[in-house]
Amino acid sequence: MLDIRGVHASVGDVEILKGIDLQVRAGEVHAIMGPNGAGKSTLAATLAGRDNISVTQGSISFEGEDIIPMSPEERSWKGIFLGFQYPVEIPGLSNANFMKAAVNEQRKQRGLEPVSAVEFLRMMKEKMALVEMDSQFSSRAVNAGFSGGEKKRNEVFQMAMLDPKLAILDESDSGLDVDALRIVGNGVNKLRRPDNATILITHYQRLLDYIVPDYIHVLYKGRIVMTGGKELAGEIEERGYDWIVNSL
Amino acid sequence: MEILEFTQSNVRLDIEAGSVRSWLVMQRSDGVCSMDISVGAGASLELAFIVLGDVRVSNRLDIRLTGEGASCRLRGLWLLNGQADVSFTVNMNHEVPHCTSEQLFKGIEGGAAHSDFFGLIKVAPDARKTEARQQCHNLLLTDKARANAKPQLEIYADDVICTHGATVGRLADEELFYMRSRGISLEEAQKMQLTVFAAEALDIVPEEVAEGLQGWIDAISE
Repeated sequence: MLDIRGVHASVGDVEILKGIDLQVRAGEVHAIMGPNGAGKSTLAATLAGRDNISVTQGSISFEGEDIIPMSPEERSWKGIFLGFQYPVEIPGLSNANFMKAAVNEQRKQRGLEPVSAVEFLRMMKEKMALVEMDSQFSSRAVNAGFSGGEKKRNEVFQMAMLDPKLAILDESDSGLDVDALRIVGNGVNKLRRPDNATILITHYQRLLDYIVPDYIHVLYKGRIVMTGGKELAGEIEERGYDWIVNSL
Repeated sequence: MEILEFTQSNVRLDIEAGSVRSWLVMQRSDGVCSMDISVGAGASLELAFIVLGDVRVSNRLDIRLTGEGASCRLRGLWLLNGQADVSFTVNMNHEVPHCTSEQLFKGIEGGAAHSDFFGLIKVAPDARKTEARQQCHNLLLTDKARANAKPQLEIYADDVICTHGATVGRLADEELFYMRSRGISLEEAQKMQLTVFAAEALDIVPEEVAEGLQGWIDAISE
């Protein structure tokens, strides 16, 4: 599904990613862990097409197509979703209107008619229930005045609405209490299918108690320096990142 | 709300104690408008301006709150493109105690449009318990567009609440990227941002008028 080969990427003049190789197949969950400043969020933003990041070397293909020249919206239409580490507040725009615009644009790209009002309400209700959001949430402005937990739940809600093939969740666990963590974890688990894939980006292992990955990759100084199974998380939790870094 | 459409005007009027007036002034061509309005005890004035397109407009509003309990809400929205040149001068005079005024002006400048806003809130020495608020916010869409906003307070009384704020900014990249990452095209995301930005200044305007502005927003965002 996703094939990243030898990717170097820079923000301004500073090279952050220094040769990333990663393959993700349908049905898989990959966790990318690493200390602060390793390049985790840059990798997520690179995949989503953030325009202040330039890929200077390497290739990224998604379902066989080179996505490097694609705009963020084109990548979204192909089925890539980024759950933001810091979800953006958009005062004055309701969650319902935001999602209606997004869902309808996705449908337009697939040659479908705009969703009917009844169907849209049904979708909203169903997906809000998935992340235990109450009904007044749909009329609230996007993330405006939301708590940290509500923002992250909103990301998972949007993911559910858009039903992406590949979801990249950037630090979806940061700033969450145990309840919110459980809700986010359950939400993501319920959305797992054999035909979609998830990349979880996280500093800590605690989200991985809820969402069990098939692979764990350790990112350090812009490179994946170790790949292992789910048991790697426990080891990192116990011993920190130092033992990996020191063994390089 | 009564809708007035005029280019040249020189209005002087007194709103009598206890009465209510609500006007919307639509300006779609060049013009000079001067209004000198006094608001009597317990009376209320709602006045909104919508200025559209490639126009040269100069507006001056002198509002005097002359009777206790008088209130005034002012709204202004300008959606400009081309060589538009628009100026607003607003003098809000609180002359007696227990009056309230609330002003919100919003401008979107495209093309090589230029706007100037000057707003003074003046609170007379015995106008205690005044509540006066004024905001003016602008979004510039191009490098050639310009906006100046100068709010000013002159307060000679104690025990008052007065606030003001002014900003000149550009479309927020963070918001655009967020919307685009959900599949909303750049063009559509920009329009949505502008619509949301403008909507705040349309709260007292009839809904059909607000909806009719979508075409103008689409036009200036191109």
